[in-house]
Amino acid sequence: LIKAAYADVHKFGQNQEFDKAVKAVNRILGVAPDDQTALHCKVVCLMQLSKFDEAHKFIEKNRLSTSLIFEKSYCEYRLNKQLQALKTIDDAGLPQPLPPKLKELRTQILYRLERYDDCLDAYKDIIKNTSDEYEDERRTNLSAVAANLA
Amino acid sequence: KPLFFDLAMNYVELPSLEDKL
Ligand SMILES: [K+]
Repeated sequence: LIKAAYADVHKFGQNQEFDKAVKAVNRILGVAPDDQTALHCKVVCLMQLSKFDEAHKFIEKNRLSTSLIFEKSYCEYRLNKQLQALKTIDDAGLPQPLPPKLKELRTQILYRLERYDDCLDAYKDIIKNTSDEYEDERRTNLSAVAANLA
Repeated sequence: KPLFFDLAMNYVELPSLEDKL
């Protein structure tokens, strides 16, 4: 049952059908409520379905705050709790430099907090150290920061 | 209001299911 359900999670995830993926995850959690991978999958599915409040509550209820730091902070960012989102990252006690996804998110939070000087420095650092398919979008973001500083 | 992309959302992805399949 669990293997078959995971195969469905994988398939529906690949197809971006997260409403179906979450049903498969629920089948796993029905028999293995502490399965950490399934709990992680459920959080991601809820987020992909833009259910950020539900995802955030699920993280807290299932004590996933220390393992799913990025997901928790991202939910807070989308729920417009920017100070809490920053605190979630900064209080996690992670070694520096942060992994790329947390750096990216933290920089966006700084933008929403209108901490444009810090945000500019953070984007310069990311741009210098990153080569991926989003370089144009990131430069657009850098321009937005610069426009706010002007 | 300047254009600003949410690139962090690209990192909202399922964990590796390799050892579950
Ligand atoms: K996006």
